Amino acid sequence: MTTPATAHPTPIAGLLSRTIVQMDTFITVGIVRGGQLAGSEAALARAGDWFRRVEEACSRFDPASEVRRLLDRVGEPVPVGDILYEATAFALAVAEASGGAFDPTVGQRLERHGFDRDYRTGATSATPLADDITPTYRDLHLDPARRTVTLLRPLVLDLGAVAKGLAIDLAGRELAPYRDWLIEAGGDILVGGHNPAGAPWRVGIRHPRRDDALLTTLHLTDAAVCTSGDYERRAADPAAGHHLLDPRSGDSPAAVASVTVVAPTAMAADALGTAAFILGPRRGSRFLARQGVAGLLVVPDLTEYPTADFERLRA
Amino acid sequence: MSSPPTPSTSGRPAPGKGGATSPHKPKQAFANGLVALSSAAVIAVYAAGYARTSTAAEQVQAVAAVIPTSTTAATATAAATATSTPTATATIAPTSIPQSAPATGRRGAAAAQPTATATASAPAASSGPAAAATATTRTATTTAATAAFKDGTYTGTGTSRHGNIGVTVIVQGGKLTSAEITDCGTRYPCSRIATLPAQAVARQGAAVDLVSGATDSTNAYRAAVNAALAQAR
Repeated sequence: MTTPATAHPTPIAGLLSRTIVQMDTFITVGIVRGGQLAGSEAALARAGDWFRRVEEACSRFDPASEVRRLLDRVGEPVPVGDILYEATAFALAVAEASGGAFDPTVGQRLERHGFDRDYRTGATSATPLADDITPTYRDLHLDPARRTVTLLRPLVLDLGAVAKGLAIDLAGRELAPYRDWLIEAGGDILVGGHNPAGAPWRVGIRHPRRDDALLTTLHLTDAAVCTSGDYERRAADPAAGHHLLDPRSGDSPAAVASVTVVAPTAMAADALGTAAFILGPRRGSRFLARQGVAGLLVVPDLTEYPTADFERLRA
Repeated sequence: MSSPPTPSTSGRPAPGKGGATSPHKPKQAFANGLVALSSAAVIAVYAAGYARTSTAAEQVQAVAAVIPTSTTAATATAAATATSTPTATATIAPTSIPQSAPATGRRGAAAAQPTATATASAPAASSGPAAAATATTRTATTTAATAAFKDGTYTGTGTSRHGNIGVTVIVQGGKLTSAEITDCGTRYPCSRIATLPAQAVARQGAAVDLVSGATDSTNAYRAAVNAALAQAR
């Protein structure tokens, strides 16, 4: 669980930044130069450290992680740390609000689809669970008073959509004392204040089908933006689909090419985006609007389904 | 691209977070269940973990290096040798890398108030070795020249869960003209990854600070390009 040090220069001029490899991706945390910078390097280090700590608690790839060790005590309430408790509680809340479209208990099915390789060691993580079990989020019980998690059946929690967002938001708390800053983790972004030019951050949204163009550009300040697409992490077997599974069928949905969500927290943006992806363009868009976040869903023929709020964010 | 409120000519620092930018914020006042819940969760974890973070962070601090960008060099130089400030700024301004263009305004601002910048940023920015500051001062003129990249061919490597990606980057006329993947030890065929280089060249022209929705392969590629370009500075 080390953090390999691979500092490389950021492409953004005027930024004091550091880049680490964690959570299967490159993470950049940065503070814009020009304001009060005292203690900023320590703040960047603390920001980066949250990614390591969240991954230690929540990685389903690591058999020693807190989330994997829940499997040793199926049926018992297991006291867990704050990170795992809050991540699980939020995942469960999103599962309930989305009628199970988002479901953190799909971990086992992901393994069957081939998403079982630890990116750092290459080791696979096959879990000895019976094949006929199809757990849902209802097999997960939380006790808010005792801060315990109970697995009512053997299941592997997949907190991927929540954990990275939580780490980004925690890192953001470290940088919040500075005026202008950014956090970027594998395409998930949280920005504070303005860019080095003193304008709102300009965030391009990846085009789901073309690598030489952006889908659109947003002007953002003090906001998180997360984009997921059907282009991400296709399984080793291309016929098996991409990494967003419909918990209700076990298949990858085909209706949405990409979803972008802008929200006050990265945790909400990432998890709500995942839910919207599964719900499909129309229901997904309505779901996002009901949750008070701005979003854009794009289908494979590139028809766009934005929430009403989304248009005013466009550059 | 509509016109952002760039304070390039006034020499004043960035506008505040006041009313001008509030339309860009998402609807936060809407204390809707899940968004409010996510904020509460972040605060709960942060409050509980605050005491523990500092020691761990200091360890990380010792390992990872913070790369100073050319802007620091320019600012430090401006601060150190106040007399040469106007010429230095003038030379830097016509940079051929679009991404660094927005910083020109900030540089101008720094030059306009040299004493303020010197006292505010010098101690913080060079909390590491003092050697860094002297080095930038000594290479004051070359810093201005290398705000763009030095011409040449460079290689770099990035890592992803699917393996390493090696790139060869060509800089001509101070500008990135080609960033080809020359080594892809990934599980994906090179043909799929090979669509990426056009993206890098396109983004050089795209006036964005960040892109949402990158994959780990694109991140590995980007890291490789950055590693290669680091040699071109």
